[in-house]
Amino acid sequence: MKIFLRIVKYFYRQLLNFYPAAFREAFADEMYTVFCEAVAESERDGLIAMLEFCLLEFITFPASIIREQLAAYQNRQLLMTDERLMMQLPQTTIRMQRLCITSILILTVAFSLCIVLPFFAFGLHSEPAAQVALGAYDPKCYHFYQTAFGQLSRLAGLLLILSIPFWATTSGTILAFLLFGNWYRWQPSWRRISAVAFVISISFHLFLLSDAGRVIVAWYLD
Amino acid sequence: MTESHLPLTEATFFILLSLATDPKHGYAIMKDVASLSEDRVTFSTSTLYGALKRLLEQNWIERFEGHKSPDTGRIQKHYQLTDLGRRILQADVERLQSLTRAAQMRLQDGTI
Repeated sequence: MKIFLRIVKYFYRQLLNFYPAAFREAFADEMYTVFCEAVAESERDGLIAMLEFCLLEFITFPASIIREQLAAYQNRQLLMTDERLMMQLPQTTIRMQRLCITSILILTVAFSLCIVLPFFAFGLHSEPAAQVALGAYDPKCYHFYQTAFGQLSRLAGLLLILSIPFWATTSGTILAFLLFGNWYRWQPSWRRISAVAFVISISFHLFLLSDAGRVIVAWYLD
Repeated sequence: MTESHLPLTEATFFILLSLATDPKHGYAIMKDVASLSEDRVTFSTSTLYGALKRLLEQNWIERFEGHKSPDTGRIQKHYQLTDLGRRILQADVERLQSLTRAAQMRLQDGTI
């Protein structure tokens, strides 16, 4: 019986951790004390009484946790409209978040302008993909890439292609880490733009792995 | 103003009623509510503290530190009614009394 009681108390203590932090701080110790007193008293009334008490406790727990988590979430949603909330975030976090977002946006714009746009502008999307990938349309043959601006743009494009895996992965990972780690402290607009930037960083990988992406890259690296 | 909070749920009513006479700590409220309701309303600790939290937020009750628990040695938190809580309880009791009076009168007339 003593071991059973110890196990029940241990589980109860662990379950308290599922409550929101503020609730836990205010009530967890007290709840545990009350539970210990109540379970000890029910034990004196016999095994059935104790099991009945424990059953009631553990059955009502999930609903109570969900209710408190929802209440805390709504409370945070209300708080988030308060601009002062962002002040709780360290400046380095905000700066890093801004850097990652900017970096991903620059990457997107540069990739679109230097690689994707010429691909479509030269009408390569309407040519047989296999031939494009095999180098039938060498970029060097185009007049645009023989000009100084074209060469510069091609160099930038090559650097981009080589750095995309590292760039997108690093920025995306840091962004996700900062975004989800401080989810409730970001203002909604920041969360939206961070989420969009994160999705773009993932899309880069998906695009480069797709057939169209591979053809474009193969054409460009030719 | 108090009328807008009525009718109280049974759980809220019994908690407020339990605190009407003197301040109590959590376990005492649990036992008192069971006794007042003749075991019809039985709280688990999670439902009790969920309800106490809401009552504290609404400022119907307040919490203060009491004496040390003889069992655990920890300082017990006690709860007591605020003026607002007492007014709301009083209003709900009056509401229930008027309901009961109406029902009794009708029953005595034999029209039900």
